[in-house]
Amino acid sequence: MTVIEPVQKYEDIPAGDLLVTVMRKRQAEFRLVQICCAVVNNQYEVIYSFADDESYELTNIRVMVGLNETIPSICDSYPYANYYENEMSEMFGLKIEMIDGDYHGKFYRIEATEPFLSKKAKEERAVEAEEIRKAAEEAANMPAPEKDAPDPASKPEIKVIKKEGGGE
Amino acid sequence: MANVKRSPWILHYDGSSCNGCDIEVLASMTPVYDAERLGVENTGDPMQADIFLITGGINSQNASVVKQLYDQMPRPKVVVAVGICACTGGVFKDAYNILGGADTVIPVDIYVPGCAARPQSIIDGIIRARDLFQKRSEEHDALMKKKNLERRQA
Amino acid sequence: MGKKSVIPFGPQHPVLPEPIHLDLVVEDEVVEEAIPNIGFIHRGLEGLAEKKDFNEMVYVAERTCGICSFGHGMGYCEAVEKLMNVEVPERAKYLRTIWMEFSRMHSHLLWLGLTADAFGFESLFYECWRIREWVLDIMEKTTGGRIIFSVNQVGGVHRDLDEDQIRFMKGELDRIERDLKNCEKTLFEDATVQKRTRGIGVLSKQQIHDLGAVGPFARASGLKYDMRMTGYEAYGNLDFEPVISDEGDCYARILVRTKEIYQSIRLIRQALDQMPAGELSVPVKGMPKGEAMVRVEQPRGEAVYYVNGENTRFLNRFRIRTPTFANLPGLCQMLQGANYADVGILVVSIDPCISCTER
Repeated sequence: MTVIEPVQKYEDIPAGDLLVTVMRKRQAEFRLVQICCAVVNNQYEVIYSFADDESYELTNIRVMVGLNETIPSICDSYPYANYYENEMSEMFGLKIEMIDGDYHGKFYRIEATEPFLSKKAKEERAVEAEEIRKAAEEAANMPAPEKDAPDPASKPEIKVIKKEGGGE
Repeated sequence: MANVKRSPWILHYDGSSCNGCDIEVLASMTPVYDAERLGVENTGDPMQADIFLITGGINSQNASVVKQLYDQMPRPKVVVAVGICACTGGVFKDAYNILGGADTVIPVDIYVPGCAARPQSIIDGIIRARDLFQKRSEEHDALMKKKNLERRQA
Repeated sequence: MGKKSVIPFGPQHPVLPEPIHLDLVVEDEVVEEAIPNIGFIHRGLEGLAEKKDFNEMVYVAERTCGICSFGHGMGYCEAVEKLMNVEVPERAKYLRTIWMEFSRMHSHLLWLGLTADAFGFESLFYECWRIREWVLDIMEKTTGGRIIFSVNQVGGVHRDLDEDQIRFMKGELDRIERDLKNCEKTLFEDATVQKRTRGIGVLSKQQIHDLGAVGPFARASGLKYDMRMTGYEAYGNLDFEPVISDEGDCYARILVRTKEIYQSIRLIRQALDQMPAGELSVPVKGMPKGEAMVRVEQPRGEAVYYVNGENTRFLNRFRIRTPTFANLPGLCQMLQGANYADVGILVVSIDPCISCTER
């Protein structure tokens, strides 16, 4: 029997590149093996594993997500990822948008809310949310710019050229 | 054993067990450890059952299911908790989703410990349940007779 | 046009050994859609990794599921051993392989019995379980437990096989093989079995790949994929090929699983002949730090074990991705357009282990 030596590799990517990387894996006919979430240093560490069934190679894509950030769902490329994503959002409170078949936190229907997120992490998340809200409020209440400088948000002036000569 | 008038039927439900005790319950009904020679039969219908064999702990999702199954069974009935998870919660007692053993929602008469409970202990539990069921049926019959007599005299 | 109704299937049902709830949208006896509703067996045992020592966690991991119990214990130990760079002795690897193959045999025999019961064939159910009792006798004689074995530890195993036990095993294997051959004729040629399983629940190779299914469920549709080919434990020294079939219906799944029982018997015989003498375990020093991911072939398919440690006695994260979790989308796909009377047989044909799925 020929033993196939399995190769396992880890890739770290930013959250913005997630959809493109997953689409490339789908093009290459990789199978989604699992999606796993863990809380490391007050951040979510999400690992997407893809396998090639011919060579038994396993590629793990790691994405670090902040406690208040949202990541997109990969259900467009892999429809059956919705079970993993529902589970992660219920157990960890990870915000995932556009899940196809969203159970809205009622997949396992447990009584405890986000049991895998420790109390410290929940407090940290609340503090971060407060800071983000304050920053957004300050940006909305910024004073108006000076008169001399052209206001970039205003529309440009349209010059109307009147044609001379007799009209109809 | 010679004076058995009734053969009680068994309803088996898995609360939140790992399935080990469930297959041992099924193994007690199949050849080698055959409990059917005692007259018991495994039925899927709660309204035709007399003995309720429950395995696994209780969590928030199945508490109402277990209570409903218990209520659907007609009296007299006996409840047997099979496996340590149904008795006290077992190795999962500290888990966030387990409330406890079966006695958190329904009254349990006989506790059969073990992880997974062996077919020999399960059959022992079924025999005791059958004797208890016999006793309860006789008390139930006596009570019904007394009530009928009072109604006729009134 | 008929009227649509939603029929709840489960959690308590005569054909289901475990509670799962499916809402079946049915129109005129044909199922249009199936929406699974799980959570009845959810205990939250992955949360116990933060409360129990990593050596003790083996006992909790084993009790994830009573049928695939040895596989879970072995997978957890392999993941922690990979994390801590522990090399298990050769004899322990062979012992783990032998017990894993016995676990596969007992699981497939259990499934054969339940499938026969699902279409009303009770005597075949009893016959399969009678043969299974001999496998359990071997397990009890060698490990002390019938269902939950508890012989795995991080670093090896803590029980050994002596000459008497090996001779007993070989004798029993001959008896099991002989009786299964007698049973096989009924299983494969009986008209009732053929009528209830041929052409039911057909999934093509491309569909199975797109749904991410694993294990005998995928191999019955032609996907040649078996994690044992990667040679973990002692599988690298044994000679075998994955069992596949091309038809993809319920009959093909029965065929694949029965052939895998014979394959397991051959593997055990090879392993018993090749097993070297040696130690059973090595001492484990230090604390788990870092992360590791391991894939194991359970009776139901590929299971993934992920551990993450931060240099303390308690693991930060322990995650199992079980094979039934990956096969659930396949079930929902098969149920679309199926007859209501076939729902029981379709649910049983993926070999559902709901306690594994929900942990």
